[in-house]
Amino acid sequence: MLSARAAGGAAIILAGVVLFSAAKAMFEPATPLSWYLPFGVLGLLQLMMIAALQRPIPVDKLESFAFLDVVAACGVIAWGGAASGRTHSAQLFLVGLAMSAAALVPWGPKIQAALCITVLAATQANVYMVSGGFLSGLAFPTLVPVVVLLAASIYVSYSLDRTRLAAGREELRRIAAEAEAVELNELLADNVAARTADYRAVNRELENFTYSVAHDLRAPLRSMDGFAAAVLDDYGDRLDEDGRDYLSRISASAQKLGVLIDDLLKLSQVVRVKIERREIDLSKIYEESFAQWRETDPSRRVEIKVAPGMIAEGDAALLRLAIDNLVGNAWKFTRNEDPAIIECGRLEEDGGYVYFIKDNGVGFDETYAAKLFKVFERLHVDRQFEGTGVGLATVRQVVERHGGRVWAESEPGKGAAFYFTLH
Amino acid sequence: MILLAEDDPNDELLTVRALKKLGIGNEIEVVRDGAETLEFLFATGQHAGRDPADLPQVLLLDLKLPKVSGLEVLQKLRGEALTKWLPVVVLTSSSLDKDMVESYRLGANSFVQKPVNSTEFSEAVRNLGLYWYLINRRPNGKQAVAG
Repeated sequence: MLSARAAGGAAIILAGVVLFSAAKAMFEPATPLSWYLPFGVLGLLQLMMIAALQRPIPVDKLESFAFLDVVAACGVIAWGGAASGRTHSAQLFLVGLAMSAAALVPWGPKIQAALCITVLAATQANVYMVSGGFLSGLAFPTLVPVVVLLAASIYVSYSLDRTRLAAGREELRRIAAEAEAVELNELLADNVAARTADYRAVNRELENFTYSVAHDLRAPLRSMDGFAAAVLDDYGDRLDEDGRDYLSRISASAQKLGVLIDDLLKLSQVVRVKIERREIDLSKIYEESFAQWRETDPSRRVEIKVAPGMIAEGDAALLRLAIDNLVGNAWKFTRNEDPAIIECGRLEEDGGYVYFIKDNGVGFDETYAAKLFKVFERLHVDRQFEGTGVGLATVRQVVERHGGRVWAESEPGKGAAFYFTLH
Repeated sequence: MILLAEDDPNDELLTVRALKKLGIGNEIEVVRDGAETLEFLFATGQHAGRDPADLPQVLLLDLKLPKVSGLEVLQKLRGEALTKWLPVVVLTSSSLDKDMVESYRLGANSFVQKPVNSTEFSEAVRNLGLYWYLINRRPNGKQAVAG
């Protein structure tokens, strides 16, 4: 549908063509019929263009419009000039044609669009109607009403052009932005490729490092522990109490370092491994973990309460690792309680769940709560409660890799509670 | 015979010591790298005089061996008629799942991570000796080639 403005423009042009023709026929009866035919055709052409210009011209069509416009303008000028015997109209026609042709040359989208818009702007102001009219040597009475109507037509056409030109400029900006975006994207792609290569190299290094840690650090430890044990075994009777004690300290240290290496390897796995989410039963994982710890010390009295049916979504292996650590902690730090009480469950909060594990163990001073989840930070001396200081850091990694959060609450002597969320 | 492919002299000594306690200390042959492992089994190079049909009951194979790695040895063994069915126990310090999976993929019969703890280590080696040397049966060299 034509917009009101375009319809008005069309009406004015139509009226202009009719009145112009009528006036010319009335005041200049000598006008030959061949004068009216191209004039009428050009009027129709402009009507069609107004209809077509209802929408911003797609940039790839701009040049066709510019070409038509220029041909129309030059045609009228040349024809009017020829009719009035003025010869420079032929040159005008050639200039217009050259500009149109230039707009068709693939200079690149930016230049082409700019050229098209210039051509359109120059020709669309009904230049051809006016100059055609003047050049064909109108009588004054014909000219007055026609010029008024043409002025109205020029105004309408101009306002349509403004919309169109704005669209054209918008299009130009878009093209420029696109070109810039393409450049930026290429730059970005280069950067990403370089970074990815860096990252891969680092990752490969890290894997080699991990492999070395996994393999090479263990061998000397085994020797230390193994030969200390062999000495105890084969020559123990020739050593005094101190000698045997020193040897068992060597063994214990080697074993502790072994556990530490294992824990660090697990932590590094948690950081690197790809998370595979599926539905898992946390209650079951808790139960299995407790069963393992119970085996290590069946004589202890521990009351375990695990809320049933805690279904969550996450990586089964990672969550098992986290829960093993939390359960291990609770198990360890309730060692002096009889009975020890450990409770695992979840609370609903803000539409999600907060999982918790509470115990009645030694607890810790909340002043240092933030330190708990850092690697190698321990709040208890080794002598009281063994541990590598890697366990809770691993828990934090697992929880954070699930988009969750972990925190702890406690008071010394009143047990501890660990909370975590998963997303 | 038990063939032990081990480059670490300490691990070798500890392994042999554990097997000795089982009373099979004299049945152990030790090779120190991957290339020597293959030379021993196929009776070439420095082991040229050996009868290749005299296969060990089991090969205890470390993964990180000089020259030819444990996994390469494994691959080579599985490609030869003589050693296609030779029981191979990978005995390694590595705790990486990747190594474990790769070992089985290449045809290991068992994968054991050497425990750091000396008691656990002796126990593991003892169990391996007990099972693979005394309990398990395997085709001898002639049967393997004929099969």
